[in-house]
Formats: sequence, structure tokens, C-alpha cells
Amino acid sequence: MAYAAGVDVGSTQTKAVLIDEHQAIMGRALIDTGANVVQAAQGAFNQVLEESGIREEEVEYVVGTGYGRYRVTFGNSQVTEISCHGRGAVHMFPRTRTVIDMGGQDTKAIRVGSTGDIIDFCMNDKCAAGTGRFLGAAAAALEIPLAALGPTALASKRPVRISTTCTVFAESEVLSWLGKGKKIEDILWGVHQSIASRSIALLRRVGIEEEVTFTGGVTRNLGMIRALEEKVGTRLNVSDDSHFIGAIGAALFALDQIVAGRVPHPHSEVRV
Amino acid sequence: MRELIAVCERVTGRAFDIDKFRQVLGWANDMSRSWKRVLELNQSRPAPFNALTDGTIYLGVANGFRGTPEGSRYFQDLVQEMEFKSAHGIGTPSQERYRLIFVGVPCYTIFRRFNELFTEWGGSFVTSTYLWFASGGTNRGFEYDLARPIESLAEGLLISVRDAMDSMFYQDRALQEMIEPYQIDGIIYHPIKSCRTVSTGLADSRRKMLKDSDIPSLFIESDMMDRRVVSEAQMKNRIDAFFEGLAARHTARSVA
Repeated sequence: MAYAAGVDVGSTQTKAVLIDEHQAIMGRALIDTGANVVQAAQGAFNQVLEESGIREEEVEYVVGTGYGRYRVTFGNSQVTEISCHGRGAVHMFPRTRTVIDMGGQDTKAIRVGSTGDIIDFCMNDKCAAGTGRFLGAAAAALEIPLAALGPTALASKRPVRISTTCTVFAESEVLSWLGKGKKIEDILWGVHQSIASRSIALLRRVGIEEEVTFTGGVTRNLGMIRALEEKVGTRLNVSDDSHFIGAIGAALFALDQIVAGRVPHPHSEVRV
Repeated sequence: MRELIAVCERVTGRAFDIDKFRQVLGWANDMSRSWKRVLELNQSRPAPFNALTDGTIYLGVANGFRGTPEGSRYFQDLVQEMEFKSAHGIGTPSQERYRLIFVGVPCYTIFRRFNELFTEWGGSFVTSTYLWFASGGTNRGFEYDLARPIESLAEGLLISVRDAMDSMFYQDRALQEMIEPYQIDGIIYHPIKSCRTVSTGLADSRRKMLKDSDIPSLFIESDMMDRRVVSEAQMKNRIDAFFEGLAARHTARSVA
């Protein structure tokens, strides 16, 4: 049995996924990226090998993705996270035509075809206001752990309107609402709505076509799922593996390379 | 035009010389005729020159030596060279896999590296709106009538400058016409901060092209002179993703 791996080195967290020849997921790993990107990639890869009980020499091909993809020193090739999220999203939810990927420092809107091929994409580049970083800044100001952000926000009855679009100033705006006696859940829901608005603007630039799949680390935040669904006006595809979709896409590209000689895949030409 | 000549004579204290004027227009005609031909020759596969890098050099000569014997000779030689390359299937030093149109102004701050981000994937710029509008519309090949030089200069300015303006503001029509003869695989829009004149409206233009054709395009923003707004890492990510999409599209086509 041949195995393929995808290692997604994100700005905040590094994810690794191992799949077999039948595209079944054999293991997942998630660690903080930190300052040493090479070490993070190796650490995530080691962890996924350990979790799946598969030896390194059994992994025939590794694709690195994410902003640190060129630092996956043991990887065979690199594919951008844009292609990987598109591929992974269509693999998980075959009717996906639009992907919204929200990570630690960037948010991407991706239009895909039926095979996960990229039709168009758009992402923030000058500002992190519509990303997970914005949530992180709000969580720090409110002294709330990240995991509690969504559930707390969903308890809101009278959300405030967060006017700033700057991550740096998010903290001061949150503090100013606290000073006015607003409830934490109302401030947080306002933060979620603000991020959702920014994301919708990106989605509109590529065109929203159903089904819409939500990927990236922020998918673990139930409040963000709800806020986005309200803005998009439709249900979003989300699963427990949504955080790993970039790594899954990378692993699928790796598998393409393994089976390239047997069954040519439409993506098999992607960056070898 | 005649009023302008009178003003210039008064200001400079020199008399207008119609014979010299006719001679200058003749050299300018050689250059416009040749420029049009050079641009057309890039329809060959592989394209004889890179419209982003080589083309910008030709543009410098076109503007710096306009209406001179040196400019005339340079462009006539250039036509010969490009005709030879075209006839013998000689392209640029990099491999041509995808034929691209460049829309906007080059990224001068990282001029060579910017081009490499494309050529590393086999992307080759075969034409560019920059070569149209920044040459004052001489890509159109308008030639002055030397029998009535003053009237013809007025006509030429109206026609060529109008064409240059259209290349900036209504380039989608011209781009549509380029797709088939130049066998275009993709369009790169490069709006810049330091020249809003040529950058305003590019997002709308791209949206219209996406609606009217199935040619993939990429929209990347940077600048022609201000390094603070040029982020190579972010550009590379988008360019890589664009080519990954092109590669998948080409493979899907060849499998079908």
C-alpha cells in the first residue's frame, strides 16, 4: 500500500494529513507553527506518522502547502494553499463551488469547478481585519480563550456594531465598548459580524455559487459559522476535518503523483 | 496647429522649417510602421520577444528616439530581426508554455524578478497594453501624409492618442480581439498605486472579460516605483495559484 502526505504550514498552525491509495485518511496532526517553520513541518509530519502507525519510508510522496510550503524540507513538491483548499473542499463536499478559507492571517474566497480546479480566487493582502487574527485580538482584549469565543458570542441578544476594520485598533474598540458597559457576548457577536461582512465582500468578488464550503482554522468557531451563514444566506459545508482541508488537498495532489503513471488526473500536472 | 507653430516661432526666435518637419515625420512614419509590425510578429509561436521585458526596452527607443534617423534605423532593424526569429521558430530564452497578455504598467521596482515569477512557470507575455498606451498609440501604425504634413500631424495626434486612451480605459475590446490571433491562455492585470490613471477601472474591466470570455485572469496589485507596496511573497503565492489553475485546465483539456 502506498501512502501520500500533505503538510500545510500555516501562519498560526501546521497541519499534516496522511492518506492511503484509496484516499482514506489514515491520520491527522495539528501543532502550533511558532518561529521555526522547518521544525513545525517536521513535527507535524512525525506526529501524523505516529498517529497512523505508518513508517516514513512507506510514504511515497509529500506535498507541502501553506505560506511555509517551501520550508517543508522533506517534501517532494509544493502546491499553493489556494489550489489545496479548492481540491480538498471538493473532495470533502463534491458539490462545492465556492470556498471560504479563514486562517490565522488571511482569508480567501475561491471559486472552483467540479474537479476542484480553481476558476477564480481573491484574498486579503494589505489588511488582516477579516481573518482569525481579528478574533485573536478581540479574545485577548476580552481575556477569553479562543475556544470560548463562538459559544460566548452566540449568547448575544443585542450585538454592538464594530465599526473598525483594523485588527490593530480592534482591541481599543472592544475596550471602549466594555467601558460603555456592553456585555461581552454582545461585543463578541459584533466582532463576528464584522469579520463576516469583510469575508462576504471577498466572496462577492469571485461570485457566490452554491454549495459554499468553509475551511481553515476558524471553522472550529461555531459563532463564525453562524455569522457567515447569516451573511451568505445559505448553509455552509463544515465538518470536523474542515481545519485540515488544505492538508487533505495537498495529500490528494501527492497521491496524484504516485498514481500518475496509472490513472492520469486533471491535476496531475500541478507543480511537480 | 498653425497657431502653435506661430507661438513656437515667437518663443524660440527660430523659423519653422517645413522640409525638416516633413523629414522628421518620415522617420516617425518608419517607426510607427515598424512598431505595428513588430507587435504583430509576436503572434508567432513561440513569440519572438517578451512583451514585458524586451517590449519595454523597445518602448524606450520608440519614445526617446521618435522622429530621428537613429530611431528609424533601430526599428527597421528590429523588424528584420523579429521576422527572422518568427520565420525560424526562435522564441525568447525561456520556455513558452502559456501565452499571456499583460495589462497595466510593469513592476519596475523588481523588474526582472517580476518577470521570472511568470517565466519559471513557462508563462510568456506575448503582448501588453503598456506597449500600446505608453507608445502614444503608435502601435496603431498611423502614418503621416507628407504631402500635407501639418494637417496630417493633427489627424495623427487625434487618432493615435485616442487609441492610447482607449488602451487604458476601454482595453477589454482590444483584449478580446487579441485572444485568437495571439493564442492567449491568460491575462495578467497589474494595477499600481503610483498611476491611478491607468489602474482605475481595471477590476471592472477584468470582471467584464471574465463574463464575456473563458480566458482565466489574475489581478495583482503592486507599484512601478514605491517598494513599500511591493510584496513579492504575496505576489508569488497568487501567481503560483494562477499557474496551478492553468496547468489543471490544460491537462483537463488534453484528457478530454
